[in-house]
Amino acid sequence: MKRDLFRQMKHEWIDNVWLVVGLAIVSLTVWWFSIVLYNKNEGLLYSRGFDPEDVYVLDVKQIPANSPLYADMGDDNGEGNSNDLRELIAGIRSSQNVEAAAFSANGIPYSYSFHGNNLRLAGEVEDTIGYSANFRYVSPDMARILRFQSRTGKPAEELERILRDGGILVSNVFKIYGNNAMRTPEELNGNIVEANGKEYRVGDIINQVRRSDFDLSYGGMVIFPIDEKDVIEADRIAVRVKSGKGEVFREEFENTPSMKHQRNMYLADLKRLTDEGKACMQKESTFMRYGLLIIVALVFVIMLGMLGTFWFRMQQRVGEIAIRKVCGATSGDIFRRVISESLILLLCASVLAGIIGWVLIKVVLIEELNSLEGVAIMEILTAIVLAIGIVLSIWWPAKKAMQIEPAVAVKDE
Amino acid sequence: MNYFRQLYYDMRHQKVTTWVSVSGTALSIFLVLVFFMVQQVKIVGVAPETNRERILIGGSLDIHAFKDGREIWTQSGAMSYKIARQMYGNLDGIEMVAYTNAWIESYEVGESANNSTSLIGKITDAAFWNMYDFKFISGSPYNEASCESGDKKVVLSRTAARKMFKKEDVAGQSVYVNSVPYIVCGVVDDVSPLLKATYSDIYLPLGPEQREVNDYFGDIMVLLLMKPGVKEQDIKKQMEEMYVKFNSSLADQNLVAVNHEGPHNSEVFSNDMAFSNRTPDLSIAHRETYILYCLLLLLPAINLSSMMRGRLRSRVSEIGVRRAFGAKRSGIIMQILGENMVVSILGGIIGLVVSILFMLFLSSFFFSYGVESNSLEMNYSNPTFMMLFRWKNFVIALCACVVLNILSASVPAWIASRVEPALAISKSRA
Repeated sequence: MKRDLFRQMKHEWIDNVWLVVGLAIVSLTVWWFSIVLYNKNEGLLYSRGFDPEDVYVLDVKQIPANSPLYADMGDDNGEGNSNDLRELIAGIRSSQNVEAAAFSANGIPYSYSFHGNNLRLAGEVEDTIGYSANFRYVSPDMARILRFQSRTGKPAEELERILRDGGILVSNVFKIYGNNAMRTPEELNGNIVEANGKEYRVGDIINQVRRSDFDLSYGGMVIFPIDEKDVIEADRIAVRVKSGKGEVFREEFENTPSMKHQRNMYLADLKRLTDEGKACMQKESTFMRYGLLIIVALVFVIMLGMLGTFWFRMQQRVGEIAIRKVCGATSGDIFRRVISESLILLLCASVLAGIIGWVLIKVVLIEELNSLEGVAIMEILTAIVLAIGIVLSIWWPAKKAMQIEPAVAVKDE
Repeated sequence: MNYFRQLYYDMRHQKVTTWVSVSGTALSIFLVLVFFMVQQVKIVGVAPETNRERILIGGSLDIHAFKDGREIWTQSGAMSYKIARQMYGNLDGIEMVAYTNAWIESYEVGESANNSTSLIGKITDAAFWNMYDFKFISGSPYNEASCESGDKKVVLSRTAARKMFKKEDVAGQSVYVNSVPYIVCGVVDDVSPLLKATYSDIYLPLGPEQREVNDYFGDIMVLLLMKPGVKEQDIKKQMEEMYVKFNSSLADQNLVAVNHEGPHNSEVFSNDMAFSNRTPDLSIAHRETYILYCLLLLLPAINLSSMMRGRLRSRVSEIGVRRAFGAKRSGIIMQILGENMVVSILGGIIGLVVSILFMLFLSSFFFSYGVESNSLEMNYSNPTFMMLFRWKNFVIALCACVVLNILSASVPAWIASRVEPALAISKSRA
């Protein structure tokens, strides 16, 4: 039976070569797009390093001196503003709908700030290898609000305590800038390091609080604590509301002037962190949708092509199928034969696409790739998706072939 | 006429393949047009950015400091107003220069200081209103004297006015912006967030505080309207000379400003490629787009072609008879191509209509509006019909149909035309 099928395919070699070339090009294109998509979106497979659910963010604002609402406190302006901001934060913390509130300078996730430097072990000279990282500054309770994820198993409350005691948190590293050598976070953990002209103790290693769910940040990240007395440095407030109390809190905030405004200080632009994330990641998510649209369209195109081609083949083979049935072939045999034929063509196409694809990857893409494993996985997935598409598209012609009545089919012969 | 009748019977007789051919063509044309429109929206001239193809944007400065021949630090970012005027203010071939802030900011805006909404704001000079053709629903823009004297005037978008005052005719009303009282001098029609140079909820005058920054860096972006007929390259060439002069003034401080081939056109700007420390390279993006177009036409063509071969095989006796009666090969080829062209155009029309509907209602999934769009009801707004509906699209669709037709039908038609009449007729009888 199998030899018979191969012989038949050989007789139709021109059509089959045409089909294999078409399938190979589609296979190669779908594979290529899936590699690019995988490469750009690999970050989605990893933890984003924090939990944005039930977290709201607010901007810290100050009334300018040229406003008629400006309250001039003379020499006490600085301290007065600090006290007012502390009072605003305390107001939020005291809400029954709020679990915790923290402030930050450049420390809310989805920040694209690249502010940072090298961390070096205390006492080491400038030219030694350091840990290159972006710096983020937060009040200690941010560990609990964003639920930073310790890589050594410590709970968020323990991370908060480390920050409260003046320690810092360093993150894991996905990729390193260029060819620079870099210290691993494990080498720094528990040691005294130098940064911003001060010494800090590295309290723990956490999962990187990434800029976006897609981005595998290059380099590391360090979380520095800001003390309550330095609250005026804050540019944003993060609030974790109790589960399901988000909208209640929003209403409470909008209707409680004392929560929003104290003399020259006010809080504005209340947003869900998840919404801010969506807005920040538009470019990446749009790119992913583009890629998926192309892949789906290409698979659909090949399905249409296979449907049309096999529909003709079945019409041309009516007589042949009838004779097979007369000779004892069951409907299942006919169906399996049609499906096998298309899958053999796909196998040939996949091998051809695989060879060309790997050569292209070695020549063109190799520098850009995160991992070759992803490429292999995408190759297998492409073949599976195309196989499913082809089986679905041939189902109908194959079913029609099964239903051929031998006597009716051969009556014109 | 007979050709059409024959084609009609053939299509009716082969319903499945007709359906597959038309839908395959429609899908291909749909995809080509969708990608074309996505690119087009980024550069098309539409109100208020009607002169988009003549506008260049200069946005940044990249300075490197050296000591003993070694680079010690670099800084890049937006320019100060003074540097922007010095670099871009006196270029030949420029009809108008406008200055705005380089990045969009959020402002607290409300009828009273205690009841405000966060809105996206853009700071502009008065020339900005002449460069772009905003439609004023109420009032008029602020003038240069107001900007220079720091008048507290503001222009609102239609949606912002409605949100705050529940009406649009609000010129003359007072409004608080970041707790400072302003007078609304005008209300403009909403601008799509896809028009990044002009989109905003409120527009504020570029006042003395921005103009008097004494530094190389600041937060200013320059908009240049080229005179008709002036080429982008002419301006870039002048900028090269300007950088030579600027660098000679920096030499005593051991500073070097790097020219990243600015100012940039709307395509670079809309694609977020106007980086402050890198020279944008559109050639890679263009190459990828062309490859994509080729693939989107080539792949359906290969599939349609194998179907076409099957279809023509069933007509081999008819072609044989035609050849026996003296039909030329070229005539057979042209007939097959003509028949296939009808199917392609039918699919093309469907693809064109579906692509415009798709872009009107679902395209928000395929555009990136940027962080600033997270304001009012603007987020995920779709492009307008005028941004999508261009006669160029018809030409592109028609060209795509012709290319698809030639790709898919020429080889099968050529094979079919080589049929030996006697052999074809005898085969059909066998």
